[in-house]
Amino acid sequence: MTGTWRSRLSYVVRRALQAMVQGPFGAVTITLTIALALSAVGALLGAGELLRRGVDLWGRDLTFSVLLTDDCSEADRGALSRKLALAASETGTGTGPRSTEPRFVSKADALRAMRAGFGDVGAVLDDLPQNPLRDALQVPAANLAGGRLGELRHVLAGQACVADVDDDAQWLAPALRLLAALRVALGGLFALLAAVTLVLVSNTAQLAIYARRDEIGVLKLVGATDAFVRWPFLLEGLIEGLLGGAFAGVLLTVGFAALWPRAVGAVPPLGSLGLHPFPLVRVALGFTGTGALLGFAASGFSVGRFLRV
Amino acid sequence: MIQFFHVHKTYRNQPALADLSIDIGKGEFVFLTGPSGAGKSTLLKLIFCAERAQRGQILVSGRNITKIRESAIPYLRRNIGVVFQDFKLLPNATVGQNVALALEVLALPRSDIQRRVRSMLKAVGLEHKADALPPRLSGGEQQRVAIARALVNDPAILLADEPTGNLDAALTLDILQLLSDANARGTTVVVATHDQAVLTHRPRRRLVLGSGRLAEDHGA
Repeated sequence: MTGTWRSRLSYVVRRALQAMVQGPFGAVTITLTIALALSAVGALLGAGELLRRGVDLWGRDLTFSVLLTDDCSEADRGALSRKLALAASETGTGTGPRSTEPRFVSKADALRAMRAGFGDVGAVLDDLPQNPLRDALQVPAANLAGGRLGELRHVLAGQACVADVDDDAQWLAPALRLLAALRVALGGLFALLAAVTLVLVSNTAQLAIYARRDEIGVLKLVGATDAFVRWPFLLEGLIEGLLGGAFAGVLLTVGFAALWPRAVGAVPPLGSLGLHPFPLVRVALGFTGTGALLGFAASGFSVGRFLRV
Repeated sequence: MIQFFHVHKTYRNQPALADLSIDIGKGEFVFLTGPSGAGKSTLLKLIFCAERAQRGQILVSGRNITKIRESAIPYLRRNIGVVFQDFKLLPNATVGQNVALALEVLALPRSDIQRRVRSMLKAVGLEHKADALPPRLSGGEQQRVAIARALVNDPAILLADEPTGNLDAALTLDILQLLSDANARGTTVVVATHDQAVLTHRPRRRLVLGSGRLAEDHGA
Protein backbone atom coordinates (compact mmCIF):
# COMPACT_ATOMS: atom_id res chain seq x y z
CA MET A 1 0.00 0.00 0.00
CA THR A 2 1.49 3.38 -0.98
CA GLY A 3 1.73 6.24 1.44
CA THR A 4 -0.99 8.07 -0.46
CA TRP A 5 -3.43 5.23 -0.09
CA ARG A 6 -2.50 4.72 3.54
CA SER A 7 -3.15 8.42 4.18
CA ARG A 8 -6.49 8.29 2.36
CA LEU A 9 -7.60 5.15 4.19
CA SER A 10 -6.50 6.62 7.48
CA TYR A 11 -8.54 9.77 6.77
CA VAL A 12 -11.63 7.80 5.71
CA VAL A 13 -11.58 5.59 8.82
CA ARG A 14 -10.79 8.48 11.16
CA ARG A 15 -13.49 10.71 9.68
CA ALA A 16 -16.15 7.99 9.69
CA LEU A 17 -15.52 7.15 13.35
CA GLN A 18 -15.33 10.84 14.30
CA ALA A 19 -18.65 11.51 12.61
CA MET A 20 -20.31 8.65 14.48
CA VAL A 21 -19.00 9.94 17.79
CA GLN A 22 -19.91 13.56 17.01
CA GLY A 23 -23.36 12.71 15.66
CA PRO A 24 -24.46 9.74 17.76
CA PHE A 25 -28.17 10.39 17.21
CA GLY A 26 -27.96 9.76 13.47
CA ALA A 27 -25.67 6.78 13.93
CA VAL A 28 -27.91 5.17 16.56
CA THR A 29 -31.07 5.87 14.55
CA ILE A 30 -29.67 4.27 11.41
CA THR A 31 -28.31 1.30 13.36
CA LEU A 32 -31.62 0.71 15.12
CA THR A 33 -33.65 1.14 11.93
CA ILE A 34 -31.56 -1.50 10.20
CA ALA A 35 -31.67 -3.75 13.27
CA LEU A 36 -35.46 -3.58 13.59
CA ALA A 37 -36.09 -4.01 9.89
CA LEU A 38 -33.78 -6.99 9.65
CA SER A 39 -35.29 -8.49 12.81
CA ALA A 40 -38.72 -8.28 11.20
CA VAL A 41 -37.39 -9.84 8.00
CA GLY A 42 -35.59 -12.50 10.01
CA ALA A 43 -38.70 -13.30 12.04
CA LEU A 44 -40.66 -13.69 8.80
CA LEU A 45 -38.01 -15.95 7.32
CA GLY A 46 -37.84 -17.96 10.54
CA ALA A 47 -41.61 -18.40 10.60
CA GLY A 48 -41.54 -19.48 6.95
CA GLU A 49 -38.77 -21.98 7.67
CA LEU A 50 -40.64 -23.45 10.65
CA LEU A 51 -43.77 -23.79 8.54
CA ARG A 52 -41.84 -25.52 5.76
CA ARG A 53 -40.28 -27.96 8.20
CA GLY A 54 -43.64 -28.61 9.82
CA VAL A 55 -45.28 -29.51 6.51
CA ASP A 56 -42.22 -31.55 5.51
CA LEU A 57 -42.31 -33.52 8.76
CA TRP A 58 -46.05 -34.07 8.51
CA GLY A 59 -45.61 -35.20 4.90
CA ARG A 60 -43.08 -37.83 5.96
CA ASP A 61 -45.54 -39.41 8.38
CA LEU A 62 -48.35 -39.62 5.85
CA THR A 63 -48.89 -43.00 4.26
CA PHE A 64 -50.60 -44.51 1.28
CA SER A 65 -52.39 -47.51 2.85
CA VAL A 66 -54.03 -50.42 1.15
CA LEU A 67 -56.50 -51.94 3.63
CA LEU A 68 -56.77 -55.68 3.25
CA THR A 69 -59.81 -57.92 3.45
CA ASP A 70 -59.96 -60.34 6.38
CA ASP A 71 -59.80 -63.35 4.07
CA CYS A 72 -56.61 -62.24 2.31
CA SER A 73 -54.10 -65.11 2.12
CA GLU A 74 -50.38 -64.57 2.65
CA ALA A 75 -49.72 -65.39 -1.02
CA ASP A 76 -52.28 -62.85 -2.24
CA ARG A 77 -50.86 -60.29 0.14
CA GLY A 78 -47.34 -60.93 -1.20
CA ALA A 79 -48.55 -60.49 -4.77
CA LEU A 80 -50.30 -57.29 -3.89
CA SER A 81 -47.22 -56.02 -2.05
CA ARG A 82 -45.08 -56.59 -5.14
CA LYS A 83 -47.59 -54.73 -7.33
CA LEU A 84 -47.64 -51.86 -4.88
CA ALA A 85 -43.83 -51.73 -4.75
CA LEU A 86 -43.67 -51.67 -8.54
CA ALA A 87 -46.26 -48.92 -8.73
CA ALA A 88 -44.39 -46.93 -6.10
CA SER A 89 -41.08 -47.28 -7.93
CA GLU A 90 -42.72 -46.17 -11.20
CA THR A 91 -44.51 -43.21 -9.71
CA GLY A 92 -41.88 -42.33 -7.09
CA THR A 93 -40.76 -38.72 -6.95
CA GLY A 94 -37.25 -39.63 -5.90
CA THR A 95 -37.53 -37.21 -3.00
CA GLY A 96 -39.09 -39.70 -0.62
CA PRO A 97 -37.21 -40.54 2.53
CA ARG A 98 -37.44 -44.33 2.49
CA SER A 99 -37.53 -47.36 0.19
CA THR A 100 -40.65 -48.07 -1.84
CA GLU A 101 -41.03 -51.56 -0.26
CA PRO A 102 -44.51 -51.63 1.32
CA ARG A 103 -44.68 -52.27 5.02
CA PHE A 104 -47.21 -54.72 6.39
CA VAL A 105 -49.09 -53.45 9.43
CA SER A 106 -51.32 -55.98 11.10
CA LYS A 107 -54.61 -54.82 12.54
CA ALA A 108 -53.32 -55.68 16.02
CA ASP A 109 -50.29 -53.43 15.49
CA ALA A 110 -52.54 -50.72 14.11
CA LEU A 111 -54.75 -50.87 17.19
CA ARG A 112 -51.71 -50.74 19.49
CA ALA A 113 -50.41 -47.70 17.62
CA MET A 114 -53.81 -46.04 17.87
CA ARG A 115 -53.97 -46.80 21.59
CA ALA A 116 -50.54 -45.23 22.09
CA GLY A 117 -51.52 -42.24 19.97
CA PHE A 118 -54.58 -41.56 22.18
CA GLY A 119 -52.32 -41.30 25.23
CA ASP A 120 -54.14 -41.41 28.56
CA VAL A 121 -57.53 -42.07 27.00
CA GLY A 122 -56.21 -44.94 24.89
CA ALA A 123 -57.44 -47.43 27.48
CA VAL A 124 -61.00 -47.03 26.21
CA LEU A 125 -59.96 -49.08 23.18
CA ASP A 126 -59.41 -52.08 25.46
CA ASP A 127 -63.16 -52.31 25.93
CA LEU A 128 -63.87 -52.87 22.24
CA PRO A 129 -65.54 -56.30 21.66
CA GLN A 130 -63.36 -56.82 18.57
CA ASN A 131 -60.64 -55.03 16.62
CA PRO A 132 -62.46 -52.91 14.01
CA LEU A 133 -59.30 -52.14 12.05
CA ARG A 134 -57.85 -53.99 9.06
CA ASP A 135 -54.46 -55.33 8.13
CA ALA A 136 -52.75 -52.95 5.75
CA LEU A 137 -49.86 -52.47 3.35
CA GLN A 138 -48.33 -49.00 3.71
CA VAL A 139 -46.02 -46.90 1.55
CA PRO A 140 -44.83 -43.42 2.64
CA ALA A 141 -46.98 -40.95 0.71
CA ALA A 142 -43.94 -38.82 0.02
CA ASN A 143 -42.60 -41.68 -2.11
CA LEU A 144 -45.49 -41.42 -4.53
CA ALA A 145 -46.07 -38.73 -7.13
CA GLY A 146 -49.24 -36.81 -6.35
CA GLY A 147 -50.43 -36.66 -9.97
CA ARG A 148 -50.69 -40.45 -10.38
CA LEU A 149 -52.07 -41.35 -6.99
CA GLY A 150 -55.64 -41.20 -8.21
CA GLU A 151 -54.81 -43.62 -11.00
CA LEU A 152 -53.03 -45.97 -8.59
CA ARG A 153 -55.95 -45.87 -6.19
CA HIS A 154 -58.32 -46.78 -9.03
CA VAL A 155 -56.15 -49.71 -10.19
CA LEU A 156 -55.72 -51.11 -6.69
CA ALA A 157 -59.40 -50.84 -5.81
CA GLY A 158 -60.26 -53.70 -8.18
CA GLN A 159 -57.57 -56.08 -6.95
CA ALA A 160 -58.14 -59.18 -4.86
CA CYS A 161 -57.58 -58.65 -1.11
CA VAL A 162 -58.17 -54.92 -1.33
CA ALA A 163 -60.96 -53.74 0.97
CA ASP A 164 -60.18 -50.03 0.60
CA VAL A 165 -57.41 -47.56 -0.21
CA ASP A 166 -56.60 -44.84 2.28
CA ASP A 167 -54.55 -42.04 0.85
CA ASP A 168 -53.31 -39.54 3.48
CA ALA A 169 -51.48 -37.67 0.73
CA GLN A 170 -54.74 -36.19 -0.48
CA TRP A 171 -54.37 -33.88 2.55
CA LEU A 172 -50.74 -33.11 1.77
CA ALA A 173 -51.33 -31.61 -1.66
CA PRO A 174 -53.54 -28.73 -0.44
CA ALA A 175 -51.10 -28.14 2.42
CA LEU A 176 -48.23 -27.91 -0.06
CA ARG A 177 -50.25 -25.55 -2.24
CA LEU A 178 -50.98 -23.42 0.83
CA LEU A 179 -47.30 -23.47 1.72
CA ALA A 180 -46.36 -22.40 -1.81
CA ALA A 181 -48.86 -19.54 -1.62
CA LEU A 182 -47.51 -18.58 1.80
CA ARG A 183 -44.00 -18.58 0.38
CA VAL A 184 -45.03 -16.22 -2.39
CA ALA A 185 -46.74 -13.99 0.15
CA LEU A 186 -43.68 -14.09 2.41
CA GLY A 187 -41.46 -13.29 -0.58
CA GLY A 188 -43.65 -10.30 -1.43
CA LEU A 189 -43.65 -9.15 2.18
CA PHE A 190 -39.87 -9.58 2.29
CA ALA A 191 -39.43 -7.47 -0.86
CA LEU A 192 -41.79 -4.82 0.49
CA LEU A 193 -40.02 -4.74 3.84
CA ALA A 194 -36.63 -4.54 2.14
CA ALA A 195 -37.80 -1.60 0.01
CA VAL A 196 -39.35 0.17 3.01
CA THR A 197 -36.16 -0.42 5.00
CA LEU A 198 -34.01 0.99 2.21
CA VAL A 199 -36.21 4.08 1.99
CA LEU A 200 -36.27 4.49 5.79
CA VAL A 201 -32.53 4.05 6.20
CA SER A 202 -31.86 6.21 3.17
CA ASN A 203 -34.05 9.00 4.55
CA THR A 204 -32.45 8.77 7.97
CA ALA A 205 -29.01 8.81 6.37
CA GLN A 206 -30.09 11.78 4.28
CA LEU A 207 -31.10 13.69 7.41
CA ALA A 208 -27.76 12.89 9.03
CA ILE A 209 -25.88 13.91 5.89
CA TYR A 210 -28.02 17.04 5.44
CA ALA A 211 -26.83 18.15 8.87
CA ARG A 212 -23.29 17.85 7.53
CA ARG A 213 -23.82 19.55 4.16
CA ASP A 214 -21.60 22.45 5.23
CA GLU A 215 -18.79 20.02 5.81
CA ILE A 216 -19.28 18.60 2.33
CA GLY A 217 -19.26 22.16 0.92
CA VAL A 218 -16.01 22.98 2.70
CA LEU A 219 -14.38 19.75 1.55
CA LYS A 220 -15.34 20.46 -2.04
CA LEU A 221 -14.06 23.99 -1.64
CA VAL A 222 -10.59 22.84 -0.65
CA GLY A 223 -10.38 20.48 -3.60
CA ALA A 224 -11.83 17.20 -2.38
CA THR A 225 -12.97 14.83 -5.10
CA ASP A 226 -16.43 13.26 -4.90
CA ALA A 227 -14.86 9.96 -3.90
CA PHE A 228 -12.91 11.62 -1.10
CA VAL A 229 -16.12 13.17 0.27
CA ARG A 230 -18.19 10.04 -0.27
CA TRP A 231 -16.02 7.33 1.29
CA PRO A 232 -16.23 8.38 4.96
CA PHE A 233 -20.03 8.48 4.62
CA LEU A 234 -20.06 5.08 2.95
CA LEU A 235 -17.83 3.59 5.62
CA GLU A 236 -20.02 5.12 8.30
CA GLY A 237 -23.10 3.55 6.68
CA LEU A 238 -21.25 0.26 6.39
CA ILE A 239 -20.29 0.26 10.07
CA GLU A 240 -23.81 1.25 11.17
CA GLY A 241 -25.25 -1.45 8.91
CA LEU A 242 -22.84 -4.03 10.31
CA LEU A 243 -23.81 -3.11 13.85
CA GLY A 244 -27.52 -3.07 12.97
CA GLY A 245 -27.27 -6.45 11.25
CA ALA A 246 -25.33 -7.98 14.11
CA PHE A 247 -27.84 -6.53 16.58
CA ALA A 248 -30.71 -8.04 14.58
CA GLY A 249 -28.93 -11.40 14.59
CA VAL A 250 -28.43 -11.31 18.34
CA LEU A 251 -32.02 -10.14 18.88
CA LEU A 252 -33.45 -13.00 16.82
CA THR A 253 -31.19 -15.65 18.30
CA VAL A 254 -31.84 -14.54 21.87
CA GLY A 255 -35.53 -14.04 21.15
CA PHE A 256 -35.82 -17.50 19.66
CA ALA A 257 -33.89 -19.08 22.52
CA ALA A 258 -36.21 -17.38 25.01
CA LEU A 259 -39.55 -18.00 23.25
CA TRP A 260 -39.11 -21.34 21.52
CA PRO A 261 -39.03 -23.54 24.66
CA ARG A 262 -42.25 -21.89 25.80
CA ALA A 263 -43.85 -22.48 22.40
CA VAL A 264 -42.77 -26.15 22.51
CA GLY A 265 -44.10 -26.39 26.06
CA ALA A 266 -47.48 -25.11 24.88
CA VAL A 267 -47.57 -27.11 21.61
CA PRO A 268 -45.37 -30.25 22.09
CA PRO A 269 -45.37 -31.37 18.40
CA LEU A 270 -43.36 -28.21 17.62
CA GLY A 271 -40.43 -29.90 19.39
CA SER A 272 -40.14 -32.45 16.62
CA LEU A 273 -39.43 -29.70 14.07
CA GLY A 274 -35.80 -30.22 14.94
CA LEU A 275 -33.11 -27.73 14.11
CA HIS A 276 -32.84 -24.18 15.30
CA PRO A 277 -34.16 -22.01 12.46
CA PHE A 278 -31.50 -19.34 13.13
CA PRO A 279 -28.11 -21.06 13.05
CA LEU A 280 -25.66 -18.63 14.62
CA VAL A 281 -23.02 -18.60 11.90
CA ARG A 282 -25.56 -18.06 9.13
CA VAL A 283 -27.24 -15.35 11.16
CA ALA A 284 -23.92 -13.67 11.90
CA LEU A 285 -22.86 -13.66 8.27
CA GLY A 286 -26.23 -13.13 6.65
CA PHE A 287 -27.57 -10.39 8.86
CA THR A 288 -24.36 -8.42 9.32
CA GLY A 289 -23.68 -8.71 5.59
CA THR A 290 -27.18 -7.59 4.65
CA GLY A 291 -27.08 -4.80 7.21
CA ALA A 292 -23.72 -3.60 5.95
CA LEU A 293 -24.95 -3.63 2.37
CA LEU A 294 -28.08 -1.75 3.39
CA GLY A 295 -26.17 0.93 5.30
CA PHE A 296 -23.62 1.26 2.51
CA ALA A 297 -26.29 1.59 -0.19
CA ALA A 298 -28.41 4.04 1.81
CA SER A 299 -25.41 6.28 2.55
CA GLY A 300 -24.33 6.08 -1.08
CA PHE A 301 -27.74 7.18 -2.34
CA SER A 302 -27.96 9.97 0.21
CA VAL A 303 -24.53 11.54 -0.02
CA GLY A 304 -24.70 11.76 -3.81
CA ARG A 305 -27.37 14.42 -3.53
CA PHE A 306 -25.09 16.81 -1.66
CA LEU A 307 -22.00 16.50 -3.81
CA ARG A 308 -22.80 19.24 -6.33
CA VAL A 309 -21.12 22.27 -4.77
CA MET B 1 -2.70 34.39 -14.15
CA ILE B 2 -6.44 35.14 -14.34
CA GLN B 3 -7.98 36.32 -17.60
CA PHE B 4 -11.64 36.92 -18.45
CA PHE B 5 -12.62 37.37 -22.10
CA HIS B 6 -16.11 38.75 -22.76
CA VAL B 7 -17.62 36.71 -19.95
CA HIS B 8 -21.38 36.65 -19.45
CA LYS B 9 -23.18 35.21 -16.48
CA THR B 10 -26.89 35.54 -15.73
CA TYR B 11 -29.06 34.31 -12.91
CA ARG B 12 -32.71 33.78 -13.92
CA ASN B 13 -32.38 36.27 -16.80
CA GLN B 14 -30.73 38.84 -14.51
CA PRO B 15 -27.22 39.62 -15.78
CA ALA B 16 -24.60 39.26 -13.04
CA LEU B 17 -21.65 39.76 -15.38
CA ALA B 18 -21.99 41.22 -18.86
CA ASP B 19 -19.20 41.10 -21.41
CA LEU B 20 -16.56 41.31 -18.70
CA SER B 21 -12.92 41.21 -19.70
CA ILE B 22 -10.11 41.53 -17.15
CA ASP B 23 -6.52 40.44 -16.81
CA ILE B 24 -4.85 39.83 -13.44
CA GLY B 25 -1.16 39.07 -13.59
CA LYS B 26 0.82 36.55 -11.62
CA GLY B 27 1.75 37.79 -8.15
CA GLU B 28 -0.65 40.74 -8.27
CA PHE B 29 -2.75 41.94 -5.33
CA VAL B 30 -6.09 43.18 -6.66
CA PHE B 31 -9.11 44.64 -4.93
CA LEU B 32 -12.38 43.91 -6.61
CA THR B 33 -14.89 46.51 -5.62
CA GLY B 34 -18.26 47.96 -6.49
CA PRO B 35 -21.73 48.18 -5.00
CA SER B 36 -23.70 45.17 -3.80
CA GLY B 37 -24.90 43.17 -6.79
CA ALA B 38 -22.11 44.48 -9.02
CA GLY B 39 -20.90 40.92 -9.64
CA LYS B 40 -17.87 40.70 -7.33
CA SER B 41 -18.83 37.39 -5.72
CA THR B 42 -19.94 35.96 -9.05
CA LEU B 43 -16.56 36.78 -10.53
CA LEU B 44 -14.78 34.96 -7.71
CA LYS B 45 -17.14 31.96 -7.99
CA LEU B 46 -16.37 31.71 -11.69
CA ILE B 47 -12.64 31.55 -10.92
CA PHE B 48 -12.97 28.57 -8.57
CA CYS B 49 -15.71 26.97 -10.67
CA ALA B 50 -18.51 27.23 -8.13
CA GLU B 51 -20.41 28.76 -11.07
CA ARG B 52 -20.06 28.37 -14.81
CA ALA B 53 -20.06 31.23 -17.33
CA GLN B 54 -22.74 31.15 -20.02
CA ARG B 55 -20.50 32.87 -22.59
CA GLY B 56 -16.90 33.98 -22.91
CA GLN B 57 -13.63 32.38 -21.87
CA ILE B 58 -11.82 32.31 -18.53
CA LEU B 59 -8.18 31.34 -18.26
CA VAL B 60 -6.70 30.48 -14.87
CA SER B 61 -2.97 29.73 -14.87
CA GLY B 62 -3.22 29.39 -18.64
CA ARG B 63 -6.03 26.81 -18.48
CA ASN B 64 -9.42 27.51 -20.04
CA ILE B 65 -11.76 26.69 -17.17
CA THR B 66 -14.96 27.31 -19.09
CA LYS B 67 -14.33 23.97 -20.75
CA ILE B 68 -13.07 22.15 -17.66
CA ARG B 69 -14.61 18.75 -16.84
CA GLU B 70 -16.47 18.39 -13.52
CA SER B 71 -14.00 15.74 -12.42
CA ALA B 72 -11.06 18.13 -12.94
CA ILE B 73 -12.50 20.92 -10.76
CA PRO B 74 -11.14 19.52 -7.45
CA TYR B 75 -7.61 19.58 -8.85
CA LEU B 76 -8.05 23.20 -10.00
CA ARG B 77 -9.32 24.16 -6.54
CA ARG B 78 -6.23 22.72 -4.89
CA ASN B 79 -4.34 25.63 -6.45
CA ILE B 80 -6.83 28.22 -5.30
CA GLY B 81 -7.37 29.21 -1.68
CA VAL B 82 -10.74 30.78 -0.89
CA VAL B 83 -11.70 32.88 2.11
CA PHE B 84 -15.29 33.90 2.87
CA GLN B 85 -16.89 36.55 5.01
CA ASP B 86 -18.63 33.84 7.06
CA PHE B 87 -15.36 31.84 7.39
CA LYS B 88 -16.96 28.48 6.47
CA LEU B 89 -15.20 26.59 9.25
CA LEU B 90 -16.40 23.24 10.57
CA PRO B 91 -17.71 23.95 14.07
CA ASN B 92 -17.11 20.41 15.36
CA ALA B 93 -13.56 20.17 14.09
CA THR B 94 -10.68 21.79 15.94
CA VAL B 95 -8.73 24.69 14.47
CA GLY B 96 -5.95 22.27 13.54
CA GLN B 97 -8.36 19.86 11.87
CA ASN B 98 -9.99 22.70 9.92
CA VAL B 99 -6.65 23.86 8.56
CA ALA B 100 -5.58 20.27 7.88
CA LEU B 101 -8.59 19.67 5.59
CA ALA B 102 -6.85 21.35 2.66
CA LEU B 103 -3.93 18.95 3.10
CA GLU B 104 -6.02 15.84 3.82
CA VAL B 105 -7.47 16.03 0.30
CA LEU B 106 -3.90 15.86 -1.03
CA ALA B 107 -3.44 12.59 0.88
CA LEU B 108 -0.19 13.77 2.43
CA PRO B 109 1.38 11.70 5.21
CA ARG B 110 -0.02 12.52 8.63
CA SER B 111 3.30 13.77 9.95
CA ASP B 112 3.64 16.18 7.01
CA ILE B 113 0.13 17.46 7.57
CA GLN B 114 0.76 18.08 11.26
CA ARG B 115 4.03 19.86 10.57
CA ARG B 116 2.55 22.15 7.92
CA VAL B 117 -0.56 22.90 9.97
CA ARG B 118 1.59 23.88 12.96
CA SER B 119 3.73 26.09 10.78
CA MET B 120 0.71 27.77 9.17
CA LEU B 121 -1.03 28.35 12.48
CA LYS B 122 2.16 29.91 13.76
CA ALA B 123 2.22 32.21 10.72
CA VAL B 124 -1.29 33.48 11.50
CA GLY B 125 -0.57 33.70 15.24
CA LEU B 126 -2.88 30.89 16.33
CA GLU B 127 -0.46 28.14 17.23
CA HIS B 128 -1.79 28.05 20.77
CA LYS B 129 -5.38 27.58 19.54
CA ALA B 130 -4.79 24.45 17.48
CA ASP B 131 -7.05 22.32 19.67
CA ALA B 132 -9.80 24.90 20.13
CA LEU B 133 -13.15 24.63 18.39
CA PRO B 134 -14.00 27.55 16.05
CA PRO B 135 -17.14 28.70 17.91
CA ARG B 136 -14.89 29.47 20.90
CA LEU B 137 -12.77 31.87 18.85
CA SER B 138 -13.36 35.55 18.10
CA GLY B 139 -14.40 36.63 14.60
CA GLY B 140 -10.89 37.80 13.80
CA GLU B 141 -9.39 34.53 14.98
CA GLN B 142 -11.90 32.53 12.95
CA GLN B 143 -11.00 34.52 9.85
CA ARG B 144 -7.33 33.85 10.50
CA VAL B 145 -8.10 30.13 10.68
CA ALA B 146 -9.94 30.40 7.36
CA ILE B 147 -6.93 32.17 5.83
CA ALA B 148 -4.60 29.55 7.26
CA ARG B 149 -6.72 26.83 5.65
CA ALA B 150 -6.71 28.70 2.34
CA LEU B 151 -2.93 29.14 2.37
CA VAL B 152 -1.68 25.95 3.98
CA ASN B 153 -1.19 24.14 0.67
CA ASP B 154 0.63 27.09 -0.93
CA PRO B 155 -1.97 27.89 -3.58
CA ALA B 156 -1.04 29.99 -6.59
CA ILE B 157 -4.15 32.11 -6.13
CA LEU B 158 -5.95 33.36 -3.04
CA LEU B 159 -9.52 34.61 -3.42
CA ALA B 160 -11.17 36.47 -0.55
CA ASP B 161 -14.84 37.44 -0.62
CA GLU B 162 -15.46 40.28 1.83
CA PRO B 163 -12.94 38.79 4.27
CA THR B 164 -13.21 41.72 6.66
CA GLY B 165 -16.95 42.21 6.43
CA ASN B 166 -17.61 41.03 9.99
CA LEU B 167 -14.52 42.49 11.62
CA ASP B 168 -13.67 45.74 13.34
CA ALA B 169 -11.01 48.11 12.05
CA ALA B 170 -8.08 46.68 14.02
CA LEU B 171 -8.88 43.09 13.03
CA THR B 172 -9.39 44.20 9.43
CA LEU B 173 -5.81 45.46 9.32
CA ASP B 174 -4.62 42.16 10.79
CA ILE B 175 -6.36 40.20 8.08
CA LEU B 176 -5.11 42.51 5.30
CA GLN B 177 -1.60 42.06 6.62
CA LEU B 178 -1.93 38.28 6.36
CA LEU B 179 -3.18 38.61 2.79
CA SER B 180 -0.30 40.96 1.96
CA ASP B 181 2.17 38.50 3.49
CA ALA B 182 0.80 35.74 1.26
CA ASN B 183 1.10 38.05 -1.73
CA ALA B 184 4.68 38.85 -0.78
CA ARG B 185 5.42 35.11 -0.92
CA GLY B 186 4.22 35.08 -4.54
CA THR B 187 0.53 34.24 -4.23
CA THR B 188 -1.81 36.14 -6.52
CA VAL B 189 -4.45 37.70 -4.26
CA VAL B 190 -7.91 38.88 -5.31
CA VAL B 191 -10.02 40.50 -2.59
CA ALA B 192 -13.65 41.40 -3.19
CA THR B 193 -14.70 44.20 -0.85
CA HIS B 194 -16.83 47.26 -0.71
CA ASP B 195 -15.15 48.47 2.48
CA GLN B 196 -13.74 51.89 1.55
CA ALA B 197 -11.48 51.87 4.63
CA VAL B 198 -9.73 48.79 3.29
CA LEU B 199 -9.31 50.31 -0.14
CA THR B 200 -7.81 53.56 1.13
CA HIS B 201 -5.58 51.90 3.68
CA ARG B 202 -3.93 49.55 1.21
CA PRO B 203 -3.32 51.25 -2.12
CA ARG B 204 -3.41 48.43 -4.63
CA ARG B 205 -4.84 47.83 -8.05
CA ARG B 206 -8.59 48.26 -7.94
CA LEU B 207 -11.06 46.75 -10.39
CA VAL B 208 -14.39 48.51 -9.98
CA LEU B 209 -17.42 46.58 -11.15
CA GLY B 210 -20.80 48.12 -11.90
CA SER B 211 -23.83 46.19 -13.14
CA GLY B 212 -21.64 43.27 -14.08
CA ARG B 213 -19.22 45.29 -16.18
CA LEU B 214 -15.74 46.61 -15.52
CA ALA B 215 -16.39 50.26 -14.73
CA GLU B 216 -12.87 51.29 -13.74
CA ASP B 217 -9.41 49.79 -13.46
CA HIS B 218 -7.15 51.74 -11.14
CA GLY B 219 -3.54 50.63 -11.08
CA ALA B 220 -1.72 50.69 -7.73
